[in-house]
Amino acid sequence: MHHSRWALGVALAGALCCGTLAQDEDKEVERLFGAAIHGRVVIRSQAANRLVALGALGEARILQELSEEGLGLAAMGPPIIEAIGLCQSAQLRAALWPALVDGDFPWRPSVARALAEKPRASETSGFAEHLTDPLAEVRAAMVKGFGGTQGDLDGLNTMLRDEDDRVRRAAALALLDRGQGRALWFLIEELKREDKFFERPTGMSARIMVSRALSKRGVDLGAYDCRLASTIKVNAEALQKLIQSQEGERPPMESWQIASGPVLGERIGLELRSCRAGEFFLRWTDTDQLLVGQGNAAVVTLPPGTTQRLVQDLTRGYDNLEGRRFFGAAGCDMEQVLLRRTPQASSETLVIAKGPAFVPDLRPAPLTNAYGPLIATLPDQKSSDPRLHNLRSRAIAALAVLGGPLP
Amino acid sequence: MMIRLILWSGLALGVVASSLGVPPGWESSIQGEDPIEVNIAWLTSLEYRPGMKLPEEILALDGKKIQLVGYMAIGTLEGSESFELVPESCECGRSKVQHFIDVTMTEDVSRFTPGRITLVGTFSVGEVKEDGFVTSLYRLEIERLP
Repeated sequence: MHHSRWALGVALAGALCCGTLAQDEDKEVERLFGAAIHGRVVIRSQAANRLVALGALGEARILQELSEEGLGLAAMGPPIIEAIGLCQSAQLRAALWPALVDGDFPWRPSVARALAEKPRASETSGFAEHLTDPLAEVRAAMVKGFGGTQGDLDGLNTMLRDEDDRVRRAAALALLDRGQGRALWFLIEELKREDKFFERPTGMSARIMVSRALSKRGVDLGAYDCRLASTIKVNAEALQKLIQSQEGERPPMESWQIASGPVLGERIGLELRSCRAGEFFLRWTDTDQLLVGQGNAAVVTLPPGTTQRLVQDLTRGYDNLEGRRFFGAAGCDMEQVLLRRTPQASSETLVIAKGPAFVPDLRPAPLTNAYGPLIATLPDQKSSDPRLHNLRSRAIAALAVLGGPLP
Repeated sequence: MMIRLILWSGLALGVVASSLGVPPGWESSIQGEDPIEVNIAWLTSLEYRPGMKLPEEILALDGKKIQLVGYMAIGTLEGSESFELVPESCECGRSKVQHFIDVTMTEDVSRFTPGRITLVGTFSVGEVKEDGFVTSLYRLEIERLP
């Protein structure tokens, strides 16, 4: 009798304890899920990663929101989407591919990064299908996934010619990971970059990314310091050693694959970034040249006097904005305008930003009016240079989904 | 000394602080030696996970007067005593704790400024946690905005 009471007590205590543990687990799941969606931006990805690190319990919580009554994938936001890439659940992963295919899904770069984080061998063809995606961030992730699933080397070599440096770097690193040492030639060009976009040191950013990636892979860069110019003695010597370690001659490269230096005389810059319509980096110089792209930009010669006229139009646009230089709210869609009123002046920046939803009348009229003549200078014909191909039409389409359509 | 030499890459290139947009008198507003010029892209491109030991080269900057050039994060609240400094104005997909410098002002409040800004202040490095999450890795205390 005594024994059975004791056993019953133990069993009850155990059940209570298990119940409490389960309650604690549920509470933790809800805490992390809530923090991943509604917490401070800085903690969201940490919360999402910890949620999926809980295993089946955390994964089930996300899956619950993919049901008809749930929030849906888009509403859960980029941190949870990217954490799904770390999950074991085939059901969760299966939700990612349709989102990538949907051109209107607001977080396609996050979906692509999630898929590429731990690529499955059965997904090579899926990655291959999106190697020509209009968004560079998506292409870069697809290259990583394609390379990681033993996609064919020809496909990766083709991506070395991509117009975007992030994609080219992803391709070169994927090839390097597959034992293709020749790909290092393309990364050496990145290590030599000195280009800027107005004051922004785009070349240095590229050098930092590449030197970190190569060091991680055990490539000996000697005394090379990515923060210093590639031409100073210590870096020039380190690069020379790297070149000497390469077998054969440097492969032929397109102009945009080759390192370049800063450009003189930038007067107007227009940077368009849309998570759906792609990115554009346009500059107009004192010498009436239109530069398209970052790094070694494509050059279009404009009629004499064009830039001076454009600077006057844009200056008028700026002056009619009563000193305001920011329109909209934080988000991934952005128009950034840079204006040097005189050749020696620092650039004045104006930003229009928004989230995925369309915001009517976001761009102020004086600026829209100044855009017209700028956009009219863009070439619109077919071109073998991917940066110039139908450029005006593509830029107009991007502007329409950013600050709003041009008249 | 070695670290200082390496980090002063701008000076090695012949670029002095004044030409980088440090306002006149700014340097003298902070006591002590000249600031160490630190590249924000180098700091924020670190592959970091909570709990990991940071590289010595970064830890050595703790408590030092440094100069950083970057962008005020879009979404900065007006009138706040702090804001995030980021390496590019478009920080889409880069919202993790290592991707920004938490800037606090002792004698000013924020007003959103699009475009590159140069800040000089006292740097501190290390995890700051709230509710078990790391909310800050790099911090810079400045007196006021340029």
